[in-house]
Amino acid sequence: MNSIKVINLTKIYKRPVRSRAGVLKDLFRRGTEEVVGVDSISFSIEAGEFVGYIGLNGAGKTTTMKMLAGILHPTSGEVQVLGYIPWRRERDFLKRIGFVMGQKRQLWWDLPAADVFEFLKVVYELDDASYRRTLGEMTELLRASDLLNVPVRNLSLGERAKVELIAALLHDPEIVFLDEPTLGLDVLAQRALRSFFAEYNRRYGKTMLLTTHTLSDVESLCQRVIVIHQGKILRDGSLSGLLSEYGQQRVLHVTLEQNGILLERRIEVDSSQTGKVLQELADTGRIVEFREEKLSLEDIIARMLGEK
Amino acid sequence: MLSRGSTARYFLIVTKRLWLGWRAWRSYRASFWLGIIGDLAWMLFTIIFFSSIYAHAGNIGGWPWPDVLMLIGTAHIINGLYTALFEANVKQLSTGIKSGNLDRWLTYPVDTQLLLTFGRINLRGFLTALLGVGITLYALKLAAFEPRLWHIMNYVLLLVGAVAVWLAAAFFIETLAFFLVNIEILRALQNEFYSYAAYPSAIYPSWVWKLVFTVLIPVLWMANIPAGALRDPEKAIWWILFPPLLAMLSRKAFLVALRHYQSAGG
Amino acid sequence: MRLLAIARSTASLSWREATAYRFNFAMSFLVIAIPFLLQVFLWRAVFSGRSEVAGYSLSQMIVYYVLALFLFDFVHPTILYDVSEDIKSGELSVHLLRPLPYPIWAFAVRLGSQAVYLAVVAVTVGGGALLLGWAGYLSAGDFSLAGLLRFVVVFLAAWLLGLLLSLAASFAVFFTEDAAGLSKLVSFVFPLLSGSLIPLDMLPGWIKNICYYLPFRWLVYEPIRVYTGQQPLAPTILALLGWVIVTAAIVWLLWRVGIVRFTAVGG
Repeated sequence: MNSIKVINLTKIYKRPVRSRAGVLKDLFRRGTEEVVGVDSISFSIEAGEFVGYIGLNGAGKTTTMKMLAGILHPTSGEVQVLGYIPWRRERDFLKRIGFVMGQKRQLWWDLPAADVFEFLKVVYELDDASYRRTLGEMTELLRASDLLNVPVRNLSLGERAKVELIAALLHDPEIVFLDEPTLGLDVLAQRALRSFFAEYNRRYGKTMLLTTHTLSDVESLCQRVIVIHQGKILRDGSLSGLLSEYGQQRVLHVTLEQNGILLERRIEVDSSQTGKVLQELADTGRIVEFREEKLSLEDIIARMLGEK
Repeated sequence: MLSRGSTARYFLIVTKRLWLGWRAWRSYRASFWLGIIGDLAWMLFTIIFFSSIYAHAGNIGGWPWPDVLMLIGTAHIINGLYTALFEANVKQLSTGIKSGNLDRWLTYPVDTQLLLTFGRINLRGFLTALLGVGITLYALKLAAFEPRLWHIMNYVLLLVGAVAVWLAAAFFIETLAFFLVNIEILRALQNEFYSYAAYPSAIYPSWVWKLVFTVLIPVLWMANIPAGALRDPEKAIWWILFPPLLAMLSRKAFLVALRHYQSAGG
Repeated sequence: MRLLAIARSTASLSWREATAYRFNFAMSFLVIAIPFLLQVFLWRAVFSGRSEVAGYSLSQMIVYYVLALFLFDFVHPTILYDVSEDIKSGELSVHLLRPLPYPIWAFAVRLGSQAVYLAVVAVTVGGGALLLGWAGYLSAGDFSLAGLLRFVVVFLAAWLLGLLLSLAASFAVFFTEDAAGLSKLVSFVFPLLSGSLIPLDMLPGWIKNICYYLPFRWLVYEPIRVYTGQQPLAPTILALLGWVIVTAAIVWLLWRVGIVRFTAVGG
C-alpha cells in the first residue's frame, strides 16, 4: 500500500523581475518571469520507508515536500498521501502527518515547551493516555526531560531543536516530513538528531521523507535516495547503489612544485588508485601538500548530468 | 474548515491560546511599565488638546465639552480592548509570510485565521480600556445624563462591533502582505487613525464624507458610532449590521489571498 | 566632500528602495494627506461662526498646521534603526575600521535618506496647500514669500538639530537595552512640547511654561512663528545653533564613552 504517490507533479512559480535600468519605469510596471520549481516528477513511497530526497539548493526539494504536506497547490499532476489529496487540507489528513522544518520555530519564545505541548494536545485532539505516552517516549529518546519546563529562550540551539522536534511529533503522525532538520546545528546536535530519526523509524515504522543537501545526513539513515536536480528526478534508487557507484571516488587536491612554479591540481580518482596517482605526480615534481576528500553532492550530481 | 469544527473544540482551542498568552505576558514586565506611561501620556495629551480648544472656542461644531470627553473615553475603551486581545496576533500574518512560519501554521489542523486572531494578550490594553470607562463615566456625570439599561446594552454591543471592525480592517491590511513586501506604512496609517477617533462627527462637512470615514476608513467607528448609542440608541443600533458584513468580506479576502499564496508558490 | 558623497549615494539608494516598494511610495502621500484632511475638518468646525480663536484666524491656524506637518518628520528625535542595529549586532566594529568617523557616517546616511522623503513631503504639503487655497481655507494674505524664505533657513537649522538629537538618542543604545523604550517616551511627549499637536500659546499656563524651557519648541513652534513674522529670524537661528552645539557635544561624548564600552565588551 503506497503511503505517498506522486504522478507527473509539476510546480511553476511566477517571480517578479525588477529592471536595473529605467528608474522611473519601475514606478509603474514590473515584469514577471516563470520559474519551474518541480518538473513532472513521479515516485511512490511505501509505509515504513525512510527515503532521502537530496539535491542542491533550489533543486525543488522543499517545494515537493510542501506539496506533499498540502502547503502548496501543484500546478499540474497528482499527489496522494495516505489516500488524501494534500492541498485540500482536510483535518484528518493534517492530524496524520508531521512536518519538521529546520529553521522555523513553532514554540513560543518566552514559554517552556511543556506549555505549548498542552496547546498542541488540544489542537490535535489527543487523549490523555496517548499524549502522555508519546510525550514520554519522545522525551526519553531525545534525552530531553529537563528541557521541557525551561523557557525556550534559555535553551541552547541544539536543545531547542530537540523540543521543537517533540512538538512536531507529539501527535504521533504516520508520515513525517523532515525539511533540512539538521541545518544550522553543530555536529553533536546533528548526530543526536540523526540517531533519533533512525531509532524513530525503526521502532515505530513511520514513513519518513528527509530533504537535505548534505550526503552525510542520508548516509546513516536512508535505504533509498531520490536525487532531484533543477526540478527533475535524476535518480531514484538504493543508497548503497549510489554509494557503490560514486562512493569509491575521491577528490585529490594537490599543490605541486615544478621547476620553481607552484601548481594546483584537482584530480578525481578511485579510492584504490590514490596511492598510484600520488606516486606519478611525485615523479613530475615536488608535492608541497595534498588533501583527499570524498565526492560532494555537487560532484556526484555533476557526474550524473555528465553521464546523461 | 471553520464550519466543520465542533464548537466545543474551537472554544477549547481559543481558551488554550489565551492561556498561553497570559503565561507569556508575565515575562514582559519592564516594557509593560514603559508602555503604560506611553498610554497614559497619549490619554493626557488628547485631553489637553481638546480642553485647550474648548478653553478658547467653547464648542466644536456645536458639541459641548462633555460630549467630546465621552468620545475620548469611548475611543480608549475600543483601542484598549483591541490592543489587549488582538493587535499582537494579527501582526503575525505579515511576519509569518516573511519568515516562512506561515507554512508551519498551514500544517496545523486548525483554521489559520483563528490562530492569527487569538493568542498573545497585552494587559496594558485592559488598563487603557478601564481608564476609558472612567473617562466616559465622568463625561456622563458632567453631562448630567443617566443612561438606562437600554442605552448601555446598545453601547456595549456597538463597542464590540467597533473592535470587530478594527480587527477586520487590520486583517485586510495584513492580507496585503501576501502581495506586498512591506505593509508597515499601512499598519502605521491604521494606528494613526486612533488619534482622530475622538473628533466629533459634526466636523465632517457632508454625509458623503461621513460615509467614507465610516465604511471605507472606519474612523467614525472608533468612538462616534458607539457613543451615539448613548444619545440615540434606536438610530445608532442599525450600524451593528456593518461589522459582520465587513468581517465576512475580510475573511473572504484572507482566504482568497491564502489560496493565491498556495498556488503562487509561497 | 565625503559627507555629501555619502549623502548623495544614500539618497539614490533610498529612491531605489522607495520605487521598489512602489505601493508604499504611493501610499506615503495618502498617509500624510488623509489625517491632515481630518485636522482641517476639525478646525473648520471650531471656527464655524467665529472669525478668530486665541488670536488665530482659520487660515492662520491651517498655515500653522501645514508648516507643522512639513517640519515634523524632519525634526522629531527618534532612534535611528540602522545605528541601533549596528550597535546591538556588533556590525559597528566593521565601521570602526573605516577612516570616516562613524557618527559622521551615520549622520550622512540619515541625511541622504531623509532627502528623498523631503521631496515626498514637500510635494504633498505644497500640493495640499495649493488645494486648500483653492478651496478657500487658506487666504492669500497669509502667504508671504519673505516668510517662506526665512522659514527655509530656519528649517535647515531645525533639521540639523533634529538629526543630532536622533543621533544622540541612537547612541544611548550603547548604554542600555531600554533605549528604545526611552526614545518612545520622548516621541510620546514631543508632539505636545514642540507645538505640533497644538500651538504652544494655546496651552494652559503651567504646561506652556514647561515648554518654554525645553529645546523642543525651537523645532516646530518657533520656526512657524518665524514664517509669520512673530518671531525674528536672527535670535531663532542663534538659539537653534546654541542647541546644535550642545547636542553635538553630547553626541560626541556619548560616542566616545560608548565606543569604549562597546569595544571592551568585545563588540
